[in-house]
Amino acid sequence: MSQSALEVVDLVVGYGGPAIVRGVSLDVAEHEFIAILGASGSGKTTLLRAVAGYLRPESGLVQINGRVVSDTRTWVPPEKRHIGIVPQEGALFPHLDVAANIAFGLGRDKKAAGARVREMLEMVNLEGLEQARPHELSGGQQQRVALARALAPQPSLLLLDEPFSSLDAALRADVRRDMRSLLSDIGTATVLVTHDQEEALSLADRVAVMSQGQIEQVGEPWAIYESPATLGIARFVGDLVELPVSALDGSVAQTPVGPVAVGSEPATLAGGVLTLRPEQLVLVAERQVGGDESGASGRVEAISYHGHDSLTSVRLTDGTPVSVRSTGGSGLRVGDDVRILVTGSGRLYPHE
Amino acid sequence: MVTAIPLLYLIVRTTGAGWQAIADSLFRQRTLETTLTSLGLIGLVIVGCLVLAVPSAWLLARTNIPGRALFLVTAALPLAVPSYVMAYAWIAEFPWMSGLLAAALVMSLATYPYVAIPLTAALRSIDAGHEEAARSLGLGPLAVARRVTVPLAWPAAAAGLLLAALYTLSEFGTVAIFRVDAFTRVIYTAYRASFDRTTAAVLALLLVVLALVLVLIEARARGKAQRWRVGSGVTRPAPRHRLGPWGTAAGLAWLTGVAVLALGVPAWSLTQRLLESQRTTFDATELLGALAGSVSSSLLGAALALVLALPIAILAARYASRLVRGIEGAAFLGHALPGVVVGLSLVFLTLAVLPAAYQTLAILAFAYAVLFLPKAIGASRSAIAAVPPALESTARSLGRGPVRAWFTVTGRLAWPGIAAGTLLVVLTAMKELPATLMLRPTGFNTLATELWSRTEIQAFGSAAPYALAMILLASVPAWLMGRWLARTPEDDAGSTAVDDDTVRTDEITYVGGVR
Repeated sequence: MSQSALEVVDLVVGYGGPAIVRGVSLDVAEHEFIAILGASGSGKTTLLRAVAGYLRPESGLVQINGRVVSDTRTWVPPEKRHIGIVPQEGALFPHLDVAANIAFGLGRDKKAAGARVREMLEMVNLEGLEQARPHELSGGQQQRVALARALAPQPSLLLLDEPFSSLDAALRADVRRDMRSLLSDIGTATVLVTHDQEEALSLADRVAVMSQGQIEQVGEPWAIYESPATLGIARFVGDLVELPVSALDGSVAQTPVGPVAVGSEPATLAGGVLTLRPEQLVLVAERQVGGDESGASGRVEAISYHGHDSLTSVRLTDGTPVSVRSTGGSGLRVGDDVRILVTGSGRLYPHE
Repeated sequence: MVTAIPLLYLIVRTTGAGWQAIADSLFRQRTLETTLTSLGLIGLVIVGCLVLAVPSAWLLARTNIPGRALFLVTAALPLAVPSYVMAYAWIAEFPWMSGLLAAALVMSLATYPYVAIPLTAALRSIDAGHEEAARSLGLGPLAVARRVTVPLAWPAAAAGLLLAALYTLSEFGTVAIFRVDAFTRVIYTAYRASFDRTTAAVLALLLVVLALVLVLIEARARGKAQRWRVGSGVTRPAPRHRLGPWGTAAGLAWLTGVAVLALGVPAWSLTQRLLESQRTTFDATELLGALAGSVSSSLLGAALALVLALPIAILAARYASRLVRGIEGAAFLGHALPGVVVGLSLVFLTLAVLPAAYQTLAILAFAYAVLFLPKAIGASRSAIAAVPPALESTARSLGRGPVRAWFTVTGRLAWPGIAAGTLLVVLTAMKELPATLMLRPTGFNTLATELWSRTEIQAFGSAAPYALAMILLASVPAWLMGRWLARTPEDDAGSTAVDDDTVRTDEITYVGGVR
């Protein structure tokens, strides 16, 4: 059995005051790309800094590639941990050119270092920029140099600290995709810290959702999105339709949009909130329904059109607001009377 | 800690004299007179600074008066003239000048840039939107000035005024030249009349207390001034007032008049004296000897200051804990230690503890280190703080140990700022007068002491070359900072280590570091 690239057990980290990371355990397999997703202040960056060795944890264990780097007795300083890190904004050394930046973590053998620098530049598609200074590069190029610098010493673990947040939206998607395919190719185990759920879901093999210093759920992206462990996670990882449940009949909940199958386990809950994703709802204009009585009636209040899809806000006749995602435009206008149908099952949570 | 040694010893020495002796010194009429004289001088200088600075700042910031660029330079230039050199120039031209008013005039001319420069900047930077909004709310131009412009610009002026007051309080050369019995002169005289050293010590402590009050008020005012700087985004400066022909003439006359008083008179006087000194005997070896003395003592002092400053600066820039702030604060109390006080306390200290060190180069260098430690800390700290910590931690993760990571990244990026700070300490130490007079080895001369002793015996002609040398030395920081500011960030990665704002505020403090 192969060992973990990173193993964190019961880690508690703080800055002297109340702990910021409060008992986190996490396992990252070899070649795995894991994203730690959390709002700002959730402790995700503190966790990353403790793994990197910039902060000494109060208790708990950190093990990299089977080697204990931090527990109650052991403390390995960052320079001996053999990890690569790409900080926010890249943090390239402004006094060094691109080649010297990439060679920074390499040994004194100039020839070997030079070869490795060329290899890395080729890998990140920046051939010929050896002599460039960091300030002459675009944001995306800087980020790729920072990645090359981190990967040059062939670390066993790569840490990415919100590396895309400083890039503008159009560039971000490209850099993200490039970085992801590059990392898949070389197979370095990677931990990405981000507050962007779309980024986490689209890049990672597994996502760990962090909140208030603890990891609340770890799972594959689809599991996080479709079966969030708590209402808080459900709200955080995407748009959500929340419906009050008036009665529960076995595994079918009575809601303002009619009976909906409950897919989650706690079917014993008497009351609570039933959640659906907006794409699980289907809109039909009232005038096209004919005599069919299924579904719930409502009126369109607002439409935000995104091109590839659109989000329509509808107020049901009983006053409950719901949002519906449709592919492309829905062909409806504000004020239209509509009928709403549900596909798939919802998830039931206790009231918060 | 080291900075506190002289002060602590001064307290010990004073209390050691017995409460009766302290009370005797403290509650004499003379003490009251000295206090009133110092406060009176400060009051006059504050009025003088306002009178000189406010119209100038308004003309430069808010009108279309021609020659603004030139007058901005002349408004800053007095900072490059050590105030006692200016005093020397005035008294050499008008030997009848003496007393409170003469000292107040020269100190005002020497310190008004502390007010004029920040006030001009503040008047420029006030968003036109504020004043336009006030107009649209029904206020006339004067009411706008009173209720909007003055409250917005006041903090900048207040911080400058307090700085001028602090300099006036600790200034020795000027008050001594004009025979004003303010604290510094009385302390120095009491020290020279060696039978009465308890009085000197008591007065020195009183002076420290007064200076401390000013430093604390200044720190608060500065903090407020920063808070007032709302919205760092693009602000629209207020439109310039169009002056008619008479207004232009009056404005030009005013600005020229101020420039003549602050720069023209000293320049004229100095030129005259230089021409005179050509006729009298001029000893080049003496000048070179004094220059060598200035350079050697101030280099030693600056090196010592740097060694003491770096650990504090690193801690202060990276770890803002309460302890670190306390240490930093203690070091900044040095701002409240006039040269005459440091000189006096080190005289006491060496005589009592280490008589072998009395009047040696080492103790003089130590005095410089104590006096200018805040400058060294300030410069190093802002240079280090400007290097993102992520760079250093990234270097760690790439396999560099903590010490090597600091030197190859943070130290490498911050060193231009640190070096500039050290150079400024060197140049400031070269201008120091009272502590040098008290602590220098017998026969050891610096430019400042030579200028002083020659002025004292009214040998104005032979003093002129020293005055010129002092002005040239004092202009170096201004020139250096000008180059620094003109350099674009792309020219040298090192300049990232100096953030513009710090330099601009510090420049004023540095260039004028006369004490």
